[in-house]
Amino acid sequence: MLMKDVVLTPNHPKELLLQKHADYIASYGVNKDEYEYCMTEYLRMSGIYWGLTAIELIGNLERMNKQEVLDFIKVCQDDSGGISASTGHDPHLLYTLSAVQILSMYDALDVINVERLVQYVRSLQQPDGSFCGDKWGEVDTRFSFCAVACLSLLGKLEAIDVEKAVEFILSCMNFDGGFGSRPGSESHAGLIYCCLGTLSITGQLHHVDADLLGWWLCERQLPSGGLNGRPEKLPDVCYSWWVLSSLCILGRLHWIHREALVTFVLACQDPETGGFSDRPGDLPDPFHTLFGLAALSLLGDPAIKPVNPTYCMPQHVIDRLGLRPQKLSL
Amino acid sequence: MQDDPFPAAERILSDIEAVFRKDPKLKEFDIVPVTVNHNKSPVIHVEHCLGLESWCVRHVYCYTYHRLMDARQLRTRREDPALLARLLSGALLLNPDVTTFWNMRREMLQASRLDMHRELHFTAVLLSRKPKCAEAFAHRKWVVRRLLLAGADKDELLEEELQVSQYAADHYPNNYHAWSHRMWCVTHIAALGIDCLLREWTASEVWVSSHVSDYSGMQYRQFLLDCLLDLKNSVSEDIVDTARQSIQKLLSCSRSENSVDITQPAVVKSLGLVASELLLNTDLILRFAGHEALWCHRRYLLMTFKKFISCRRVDMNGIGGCRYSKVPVTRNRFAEKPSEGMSLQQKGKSNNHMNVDGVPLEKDQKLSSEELSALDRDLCHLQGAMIWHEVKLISSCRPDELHQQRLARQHHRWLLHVLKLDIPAVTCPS
Repeated sequence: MLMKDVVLTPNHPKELLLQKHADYIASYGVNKDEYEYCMTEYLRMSGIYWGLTAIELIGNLERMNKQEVLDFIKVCQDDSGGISASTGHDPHLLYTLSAVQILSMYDALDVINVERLVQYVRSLQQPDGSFCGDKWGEVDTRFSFCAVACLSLLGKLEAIDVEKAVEFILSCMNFDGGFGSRPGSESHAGLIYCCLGTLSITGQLHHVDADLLGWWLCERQLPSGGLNGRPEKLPDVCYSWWVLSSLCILGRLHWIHREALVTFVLACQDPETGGFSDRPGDLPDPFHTLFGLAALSLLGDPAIKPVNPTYCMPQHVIDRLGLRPQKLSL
Repeated sequence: MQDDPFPAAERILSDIEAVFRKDPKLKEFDIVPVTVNHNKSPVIHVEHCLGLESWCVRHVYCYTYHRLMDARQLRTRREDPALLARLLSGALLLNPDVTTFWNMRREMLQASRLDMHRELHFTAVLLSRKPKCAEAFAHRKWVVRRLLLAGADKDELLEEELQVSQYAADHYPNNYHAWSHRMWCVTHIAALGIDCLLREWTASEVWVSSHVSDYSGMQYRQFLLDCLLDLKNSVSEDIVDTARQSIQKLLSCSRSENSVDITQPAVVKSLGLVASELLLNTDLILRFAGHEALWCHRRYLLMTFKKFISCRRVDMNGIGGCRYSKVPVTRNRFAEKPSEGMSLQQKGKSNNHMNVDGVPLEKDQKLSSEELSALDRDLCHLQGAMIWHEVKLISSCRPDELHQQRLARQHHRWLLHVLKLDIPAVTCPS
């Protein structure tokens, strides 16, 4: 069989190991050795967002040291207004969004200089509406999502040219209804999430052909139940989130085979240490742990708090901020 | 931080730097699994390949990382540029995802403390170990942009970039960044020039024929085809002749009694390109059963074919111009579907003499009503041939090829529900 997929065995976990995941996140980083720390510090801010969101979704946020996190974010804001992954690193939209997501969750946006941050995001918009990730000029639809999500959480969406930003996203649409990183680039589930997220926040989902795109997204489901992000790629828990949240935004969550996906996601838990990995049997990490839990939340697991498909944040936070990102219905 | 926790690090970094300096043909870097320190340099240089023994990786990386972070945070106390360059090379070879380190290199390039062409060489070697490293491709683009501004030789640059992206695509399947980079180069270095497009079109046929699971490579082909279809200037006789043959072949395979005699070179070129690609795709699907990528690529071709045919007919009947996209100004012809609403919207501004891209046909392309109905009839025949090919393909899956059958059934559903093709029920023989 040429099919690229994994085989689930009866030995893989079948129940949600809630407590293990809380312990996994709470102790993550404590036992890290120097090498691991140096290898991953460049994305630390996002790591904190993944961990905190995961642990909040399972109701254990109080186990994390809030003040330490807030102090850390404060020192990561650069003179330019942008936020870096860690002290000594350069600011970037990716980590600016992560920081704003964390602060929104903690209801502590006053920790940073919001005005400066808005100015930073605004400075990265290009004449064609796209966004660079930082001052060095790389353009990607991921950065459009970062900019729009971040500003909307701050209630400052008007600081950028929203119409142009939407125009750029639409120029990245492909014949299959999907989106890529730039005009003409291949459709990719992660980038589809970013583009739909941008359109959801700006209320422009009517530009999308939801049936066509929904069709493509559903075809990401493999016989194992897992989802891949592109044709002929292996299934991966993070795509459970990107494909599923996209279908949810399109109002077509029920197009996926729910039970099969739940089985796959549960099989990706590490029964010893807690946490989720990309595929059954691999090493867990906070990134896949968040996306595993968030996917299960969208699939209706009552033990996990509802997650917002557009922001990948707890729904109660989005409600508190009074945000209503658009969702289509069938 | 302790002082000099790994005294050998400086020496190792110098050895790595020396290899780059004395071997301009250096092509690969990798970590060699040697877990014990044998008291000799862990830097290996054989046949233009650079290896670093695994036992020292942690130590070297941590050393460079701390030194660089110190340098970054105390910007006033300038590190010696040569030392900084060595540290950055070592750190990035071992962990190319650290954006800040690439930024530091860009600052050095801006200050002319590093050479641009050597930088491209360094990045190419780094990509041999991490062929899907997005940061490395972004860095190359940055360097190439600067070189273009400085008036560097475009052909040489293009050649080098195409080689690097090909190497990366060969070494990592479905390499998103490698193919994105290639599209960027064809667009920004070659400015979508016809010679480059045609060369790439030919080369990529060979590549996809031997990488039938690689949808990214096929998607690149879609990009090329889009560009070729978009070409406004007339194409050579050769291309039109080949295109005409492809159309005839598509028809004759379908044992159609009908013949077509399309005279307009632009129409022949476009239809012929899609037809030849459909024939190639059919051949690959039949020769290499069970590859989803091939079927996905086919969808693109069929959608293009169908849109082309229906747009022509809409044009000719004077219902409306067939501008795909009004709102988003885009290269992509599918950014907005030519839905009913769209044609109604545009009805007022419609023009009988618009080509597929909504560009008015040139004077000599204006067609008489006889010519229009002849074209209409030919397109009708072509659509019939297209349906015949799909039915044939689906029904020719062998019963023992389960995955191929699954893909064929999916394809049939897609033809019915997405392409909305009036296609008869077909059963795969099972």
